[in-house]
Amino acid sequence: MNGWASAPHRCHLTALPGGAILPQMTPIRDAESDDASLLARYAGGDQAAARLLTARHAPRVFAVARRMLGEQAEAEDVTQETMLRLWRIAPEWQPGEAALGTWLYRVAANLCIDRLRRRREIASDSLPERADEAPGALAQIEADDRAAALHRALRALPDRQRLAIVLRHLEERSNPEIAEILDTSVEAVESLLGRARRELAARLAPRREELGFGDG
Amino acid sequence: MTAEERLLAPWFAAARAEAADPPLTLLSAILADAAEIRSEIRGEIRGEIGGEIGSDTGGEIGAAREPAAAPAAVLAAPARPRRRWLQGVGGWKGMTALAACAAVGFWIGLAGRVTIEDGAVWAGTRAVAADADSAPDDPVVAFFDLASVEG
Repeated sequence: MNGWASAPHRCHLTALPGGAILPQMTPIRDAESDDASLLARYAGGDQAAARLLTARHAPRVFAVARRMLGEQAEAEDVTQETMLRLWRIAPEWQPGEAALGTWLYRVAANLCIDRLRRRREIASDSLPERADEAPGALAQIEADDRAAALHRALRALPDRQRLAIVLRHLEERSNPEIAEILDTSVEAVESLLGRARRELAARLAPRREELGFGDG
Repeated sequence: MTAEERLLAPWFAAARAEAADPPLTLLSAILADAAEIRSEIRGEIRGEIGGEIGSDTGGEIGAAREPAAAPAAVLAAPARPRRRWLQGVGGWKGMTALAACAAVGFWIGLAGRVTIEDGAVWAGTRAVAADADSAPDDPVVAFFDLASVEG
């Protein structure tokens, strides 16, 4: 069910035809890579286990936080806080109770939603468009323009819909895992995803031609 | 795949291609947190061990369970006076040899027949004087004779 925790990954770099380099995740299958045993080793005083857990999980937590919050500094804060909670819970961690990856996603998701709510409370209507904030507004017209448009559309979604989309389509998690992270049923996740996709499609469809997606 | 999914697929692919790697400073901060929490956990365990055995100095007892540091300081420390004296006489081997020589000498002194005037010859278990008549029969008397000659 949980490919992240049960089949840990090693990062490889793959060159794309355009020259860009994409990180790809390939499963590693060895006894040492078990998250629960690594956490137990950390609780026993093994700092090397902490390094392995950080290398394995922090990038994914960071990616989710960044896609949810749209800000580097806030995403860093959420990642650090999530990992801090992991270190604190290590001595009491019960293997088999929950997959470590799912637990981390859940903590990160809750922290992100908290921050988004706080952000709205501070400046609900006066929040400027993210594209205007970015220092390289012109650069967004180039290669990353499509992704930027998607992020803008994502930000318009309710928090849980946004989280569902990020986990399903950007982090490529399964629906049952997303249900576990959001503490809801698989049917509710499918419903969330359906509504979110419709909303995104409605917002992005007018820009398809402009951004070169006319043929797809 | 629904119509929305088909429409959104290239957008999602573009977003996935975006690099979202955490900076090294963040990873370092996470590891520093891990080290700090680990030391906190170990401190709590020490306190619990001390509490279980009803001692007020639980932390100290817990600390005593920590593996000892390498004995570099002991190796570098100067030798004690007795050890220094022992080293001066050649260690335990030298000391044993010295004691053996002293014992043999004492035994010779008591058991051997030794005279100075006519030259003693030591023959195994007893010293035999060249002139047997001049040698005293009693070894204790002989010892005192020798001592008196040496002055």
